[in-house]
Amino acid sequence: MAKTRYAFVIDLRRCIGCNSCSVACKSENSVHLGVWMSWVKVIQKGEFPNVSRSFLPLLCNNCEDPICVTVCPVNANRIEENGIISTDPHRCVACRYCMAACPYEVRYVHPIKKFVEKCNWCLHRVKVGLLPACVEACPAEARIFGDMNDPKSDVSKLLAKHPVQVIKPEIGTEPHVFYINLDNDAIEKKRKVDVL
Amino acid sequence: MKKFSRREFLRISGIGTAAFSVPAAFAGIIPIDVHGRNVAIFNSKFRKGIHTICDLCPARCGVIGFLRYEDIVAIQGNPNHLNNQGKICARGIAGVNQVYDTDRILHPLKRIGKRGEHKWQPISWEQALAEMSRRLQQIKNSKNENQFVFQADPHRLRGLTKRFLQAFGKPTLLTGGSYQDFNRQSANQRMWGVDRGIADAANSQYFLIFGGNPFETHPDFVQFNQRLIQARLNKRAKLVTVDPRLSNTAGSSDEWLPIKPGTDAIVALAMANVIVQNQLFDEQFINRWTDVTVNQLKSYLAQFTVEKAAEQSLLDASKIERIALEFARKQPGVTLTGGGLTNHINGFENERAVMLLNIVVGNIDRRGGICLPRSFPIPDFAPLELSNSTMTDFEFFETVSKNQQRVDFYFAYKNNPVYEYPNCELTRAVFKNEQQMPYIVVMDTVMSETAALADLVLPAATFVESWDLDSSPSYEMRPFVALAQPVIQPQGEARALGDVCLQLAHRLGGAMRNRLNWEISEAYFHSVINRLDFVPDDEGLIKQGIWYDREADPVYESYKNGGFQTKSGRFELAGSSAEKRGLAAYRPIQEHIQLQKDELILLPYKVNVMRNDLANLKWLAEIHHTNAAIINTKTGRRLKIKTGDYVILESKIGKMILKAHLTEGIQPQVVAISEGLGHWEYGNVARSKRFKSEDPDTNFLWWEKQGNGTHPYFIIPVAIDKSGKGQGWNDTKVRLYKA
Repeated sequence: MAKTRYAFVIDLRRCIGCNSCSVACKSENSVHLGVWMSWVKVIQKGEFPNVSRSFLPLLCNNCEDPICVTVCPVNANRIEENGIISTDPHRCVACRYCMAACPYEVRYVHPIKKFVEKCNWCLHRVKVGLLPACVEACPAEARIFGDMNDPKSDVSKLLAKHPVQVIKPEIGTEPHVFYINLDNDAIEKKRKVDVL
Repeated sequence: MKKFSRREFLRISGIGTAAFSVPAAFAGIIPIDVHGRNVAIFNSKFRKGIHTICDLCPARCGVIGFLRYEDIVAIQGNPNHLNNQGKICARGIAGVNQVYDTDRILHPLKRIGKRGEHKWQPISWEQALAEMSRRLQQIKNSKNENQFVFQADPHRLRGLTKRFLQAFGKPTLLTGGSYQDFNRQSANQRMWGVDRGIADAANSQYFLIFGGNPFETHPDFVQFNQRLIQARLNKRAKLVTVDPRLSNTAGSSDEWLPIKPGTDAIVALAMANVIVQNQLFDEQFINRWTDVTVNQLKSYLAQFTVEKAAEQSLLDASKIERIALEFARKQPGVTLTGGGLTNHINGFENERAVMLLNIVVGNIDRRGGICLPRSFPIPDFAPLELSNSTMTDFEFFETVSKNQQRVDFYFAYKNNPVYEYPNCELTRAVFKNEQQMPYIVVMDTVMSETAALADLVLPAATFVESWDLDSSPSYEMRPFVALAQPVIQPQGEARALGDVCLQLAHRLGGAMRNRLNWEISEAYFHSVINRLDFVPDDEGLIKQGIWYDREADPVYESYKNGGFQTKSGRFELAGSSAEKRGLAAYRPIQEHIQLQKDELILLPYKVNVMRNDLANLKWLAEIHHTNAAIINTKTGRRLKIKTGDYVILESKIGKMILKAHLTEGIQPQVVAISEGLGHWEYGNVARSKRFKSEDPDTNFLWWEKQGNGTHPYFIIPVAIDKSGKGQGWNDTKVRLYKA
């Protein structure tokens, strides 16, 4: 059997921008205020009356060829056997090199303990056979998580059936969060767009 | 409460013992197939979970609270629950914030200063109960039971509370602030005898939404949206939203129709006309099951041409016609109504007009149509009959201010009328007046605007600390019964409302004691569960949090045996001749017909993560904490206003100042402001105050400088739809100019 490689598929046709994922993540990983592992960007396009809104949930891509791991001077990042990149708080010296290198701006310094953290697809849950907290919560079932090397998993089935996009493929890190129906304009704008 | 034995625990978890004895990290990769569990980060042990029901909104999702020793650390969806199927929204997850809120009230507090001075003395429950029962006894002795005013959301007026209120006599009941859709309720009650129809969303092909925003504020948020999305994806269902503002729903709909506020009725009637003219109606249903005939309907609707509708609503005539035809041809379809339709002074007629669309295509209680709510009748948990007083809920405090109504004892449970009722200034004045409101008791988790003006503040238990039973309308069209049980002991001296009712009844004695003869609410709930004849498996209900008949199939068109719950047994479109209501009519809002250059219609709206009573939940406040006056770019250009400029909004009762935000996604005659912000009491988080506490997060409140937004209800006057008793939240005409 092929080695397990976890991946995310985010089906943007389903996403309703409810922020359950952002809050579930805050709860599961005790993420403090002011920093995020997972968030939702709202994008509004068009001119009255032909205006539309779309939502873009963002999280760590756990890339196949991650820059953050390469640049770390103290080897605080580790690629787990299932493809997830975990950070080691005991090694991290918070030099922020990885934060500067990450094209997706998913890393942040823990406001109290002062080491760099990021979304690790709820590795502690995945290890014991549970879904990541955001996937478990998502009312729209827009987030699908699983082993992309297992042809029977939901992720593989979706990847086989639909054309998917990733964010910033040109950087060549091989991100493993695949979006269905991703709007290119959504990526361009800055990190958080405040649609009131 | 039944404790899980270890053996049972493992069996239910569906995971072999290997995962427990060996640290999971070394056990290789385990396939992901378990739902509704939570694991500790550091030792990979499964946490104990207790099934309960969320009560932060009327949807009542099944949830599981997970424990670390005595503390609740996470709330997840209950995968056994028929309605929400293991999914929950951001609000439910953030319920943990409410339990461990640093601003939470933990002891009964008695006012020692003047009202609103914030001088409190902690007292014992003993003293608080003695004080309240003495006052209640006086009211009972003088036989003025209606001077006891009890205020709570309708979904909380159940069980022991309902028993208490019934046993007490006839207290005046106020059922909540801006969440109460009186117009929708009374329109539906009079048409077919239910509070609201339940859309069989999973089987629908077409969703026509009037003034609704299910992606953010549907009363059955998770359960409805899940099925709506399934239908859109799997059945290619079309979603059309008619709404003056581009909400998240409108923005991701297939089509958005930016209608002028308050003109929905004529658009719906014109659509019905198009359907009838094109012979796409269900003749059999109309003739057999409604109180009008097809010919009557045809001749009545003929006056509502699409041209007329287009003129009033500022929509395209051809678009109205096309959507009407689409709706009739792509069946089963369903219409949905929301606050944008209901909360008008013509909301009652709006509701009836939109329902007419379902009627002409005969899609009532059919697969994929608008259905009768399916739930189990549990005597103490059926909705409480509200007293038939002629006064309407939202006018209440205005009546008190004119000294036309005496309130000897006012009790609010997790309700905040000073903030949630229109014309806040007036309500606040009434609550400050010790002649008009001599005794105010507020039971809540935080010091709300109302609690701050109370004489006695009681610490309320949250939903993870109390018992409840629920049989909400099922979205799988098979009824279920769900149980809420305490996950943790109440924090501090907090108590559940049911327990307070019991203790008060015991002190009042006599008939009240006989009707509430349990020591604690737990005993009451066990006796209720025992008496549920249709539930064969009480243990299962406690363990799984829900029971339903797994073999039962959904039954549609149940009205065919026995008819609708109306006087005539038919769907009453016109009503009896005595009521002189006639078919749904369009009543234009006079104030809105002629708008001056700087006059706009104010629409307060709700966003998905915020409700009036959730502003102190840090995870939600972080997402939505400030608001602005949202206007169309064209309007902005006309009034020479740019995004970020301070503007003044002036209605006939007051002014407010806030920043403007220009967007393409709004009708040009409208200014929209989000609700739930601008608290002047409540906790520190709700007021955007950074402070130090045992929770480090309160010191990381990064949006302090952005402020906590503004509250639009200060400039919204009381405006009542006489036929439906609802408040016209969306009818305020305001002048907007640069500050």
